[in-house]
Amino acid sequence: MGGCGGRLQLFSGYPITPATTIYNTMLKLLPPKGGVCLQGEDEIASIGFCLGAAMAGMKTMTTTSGPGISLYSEQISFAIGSEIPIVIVDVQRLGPSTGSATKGADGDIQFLQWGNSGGLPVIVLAPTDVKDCYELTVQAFNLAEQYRCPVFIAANKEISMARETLCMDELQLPPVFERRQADPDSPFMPFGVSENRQVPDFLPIGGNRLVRQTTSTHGVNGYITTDPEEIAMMQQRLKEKIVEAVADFTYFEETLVPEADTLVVTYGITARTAKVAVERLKEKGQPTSRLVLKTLWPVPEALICKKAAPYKRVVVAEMKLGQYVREIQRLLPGKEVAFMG
Amino acid sequence: MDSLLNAKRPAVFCPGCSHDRVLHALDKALTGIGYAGKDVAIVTDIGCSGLFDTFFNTHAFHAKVVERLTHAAQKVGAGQDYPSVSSLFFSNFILLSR
Repeated sequence: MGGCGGRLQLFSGYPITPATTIYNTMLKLLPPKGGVCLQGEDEIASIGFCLGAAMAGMKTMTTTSGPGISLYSEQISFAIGSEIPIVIVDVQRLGPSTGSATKGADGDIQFLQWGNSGGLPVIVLAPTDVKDCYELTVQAFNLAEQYRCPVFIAANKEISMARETLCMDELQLPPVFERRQADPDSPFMPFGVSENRQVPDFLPIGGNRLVRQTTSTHGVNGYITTDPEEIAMMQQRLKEKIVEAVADFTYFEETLVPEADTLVVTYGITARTAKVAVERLKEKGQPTSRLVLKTLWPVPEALICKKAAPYKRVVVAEMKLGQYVREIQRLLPGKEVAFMG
Repeated sequence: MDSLLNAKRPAVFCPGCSHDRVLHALDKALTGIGYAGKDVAIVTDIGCSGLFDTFFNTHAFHAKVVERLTHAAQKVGAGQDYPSVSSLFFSNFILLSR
């Protein structure tokens, strides 16, 4: 539903528990709205459909679980390097590999950022409940269009297969962002950016003006380049357009408890467990605060440092053996950072 | 139109390589049908035939595992300005045309 709210036009996926519920919902929702819902012959094909359609101008989304993200890897690299907007939902399940289809986990959190070639940043948002799924998916579509990059929703089995009541009136939805089209009167450079901008304007492949799209190391004209300065400029731009903008999409929630000396930092379904834990600790006279990160990548460093500053101790709670705790530890070198998972 | 080849970017295949002949045969076929550059998208994979898109003045989509991109473009054609797309599969590149 969030996808539709973000004006999704083409969905393509390959069934895998616990992500199939989204695919099934898309089959019901999308065609009546004039959208396209496709099943690929595998995960590589499914995300390929999305990328092709995205470069013809459509808003696209695909969903899978950890094993599918593995198969998406090259296509994700493609989307990063060729600046193709796409929303990718990873309904995480217990890994490694096919692991357990019906057991939740947050084991893909580092993988989503680093499971592609090139080491460039992506955007990862993490919902805690169905309301977040809706709101963050709309945001994800906006971010994909605005920054022309893959945007992940890091859900997990507990969130995506649970049934929850959602009050539509309570949703806080941003205006829908549409991809910037290139000026029809200027020469078109598929990877060129105008002054003070970090993201190229768009023209669809198949239109009246020729568009070059390539994964290979390219200059602003979309042709392969070996010029070191041009390569450095492109790499730098691909990084900066996302990392330098993170303040514009740092989503979070917090429970501030007076006199607390401990801050629980968490995300995803674990945030809900932490909520109950913080309430119980308060009753027991051990006031503890809670910070729920809904933007995981790029790491919202300024937010984490600011929010953690007043506390003696930080506890990172996540549904795995410790992934995001690495980011918190490197940001807070002088502080006691404990892990629970 | 005499040719869709990009005069500013002549083919750079090794002397004697048959890719060069295929390139020119493809150009002849496209112009023979009467296509303009905007009517064609050349979708390429990696390797030497993956360079084909750079030698033509057409739309270009160069990537890895490209077959599905093409299929997507065909599907999209139903709702977009991309009518009756046909595709040809050569070794590891694909041609889309109106």
